Amino acid sequence: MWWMIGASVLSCLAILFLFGRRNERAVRRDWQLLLSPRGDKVYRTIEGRVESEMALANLTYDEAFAVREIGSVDEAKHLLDVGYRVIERFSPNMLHLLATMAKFSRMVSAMAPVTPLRPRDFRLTELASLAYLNGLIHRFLVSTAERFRLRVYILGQSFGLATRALLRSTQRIVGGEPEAEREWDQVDAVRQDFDTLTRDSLDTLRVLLTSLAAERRDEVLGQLED
Amino acid sequence: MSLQEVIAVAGTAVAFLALAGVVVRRRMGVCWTFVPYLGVVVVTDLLVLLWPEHFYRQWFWFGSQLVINILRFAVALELTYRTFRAFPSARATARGVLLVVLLITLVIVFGGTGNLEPPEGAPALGPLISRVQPRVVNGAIWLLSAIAGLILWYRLPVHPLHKAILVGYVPYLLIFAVSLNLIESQGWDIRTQVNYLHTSAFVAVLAYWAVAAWRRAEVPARAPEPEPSLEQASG
Repeated sequence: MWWMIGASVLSCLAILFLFGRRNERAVRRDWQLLLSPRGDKVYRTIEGRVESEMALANLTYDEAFAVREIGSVDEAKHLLDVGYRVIERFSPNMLHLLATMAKFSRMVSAMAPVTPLRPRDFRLTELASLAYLNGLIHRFLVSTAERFRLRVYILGQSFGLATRALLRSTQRIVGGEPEAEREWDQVDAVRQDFDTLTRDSLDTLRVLLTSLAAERRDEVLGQLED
Repeated sequence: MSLQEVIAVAGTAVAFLALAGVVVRRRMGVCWTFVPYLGVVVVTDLLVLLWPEHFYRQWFWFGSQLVINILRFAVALELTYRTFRAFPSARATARGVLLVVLLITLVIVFGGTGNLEPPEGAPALGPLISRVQPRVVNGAIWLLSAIAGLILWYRLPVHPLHKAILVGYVPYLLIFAVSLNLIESQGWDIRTQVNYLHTSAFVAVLAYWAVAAWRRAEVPARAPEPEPSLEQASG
């Protein structure tokens, strides 16, 4: 008999805690936004922000590589450090965006199909392996919503791995460690992989917004205004 | 006036206040089954208060609990219908989850109650009250928790009154189930103290519902307000 009480206590505490943390206004606002034409604008805003941040990082890295070519190693190291700081700020934003996309994917009635990440698009071995894993698990999942969340999860892990790889290489180059030449190639590879991950994330966001656009808007909006 | 009577009067008054709030604010349509539920609570409490010699009886308590149990499950099912009807994916999951919870409840109510002969010193309906009723109440807790969990998982919008019903009901039912279990394990001698516990909790939840029922409707949040989470997420 007491096991029933135990199960009830656990469910009661979980419900009170989670409902207490939930912001009803934010939930309604998100639904209204996603079910209105403003949703299209959101995609363009996010795309603009992400692309400009990535462009800033690319500009810094291009400059670092160019300066290194002409022999100003110290300045190249400084620019490399600046580039890493841009990525360091950009990466958590992308992780937050992906987490939000995973949350929003539960609000969709029917998710549009997604494809797994392609291993040949990545230069870092770890990221290519994660893409292979994505392709493998993708086949075992039944619903498009699960496949979507898997892709988002793999993208999140890939951003984490790429950021750590970039930090390692940057520290080695800035610290003047041996074999720094090879680290420059690694930085170039990570930078390209960041580009791919960013593009893939924006494609994923587009799939999410397409799916939300197919929602039965009138009925849901009616319920929101009850 | 004894403490038990004070709590009973307060409970009836607050239940009436909650019912009046639902009617005056025209919220009957928000949850139709909640109105008869509150109505039954008010009427049964009034009958016991006004004519205790006729209605302060176990048969009456058990009969009213039977009706309240049915209405409680009806409230839970209506909440599910109203919350999930516009969301096909969430609705399909909810249908499966609720079916499982209802089946589990039926199994534990009909399969695990054992001998219903009253033990020495217990009233005739004692085993039904202290053994069967807590199982039904636990089933209701799981049902409401499952609904709340699905609302949270799918991030569904809920009417404030629906939320108040869910959030208020679950802890009260838990206290009620614990009280009945205490009677079952410690014996009927402690029923007066246990009554104080769960009737006070019920008065508290009725007060919470009364506040929710009387609260003025908020102007629906519109999109141009502060940034939604998807926009914020991109930094």
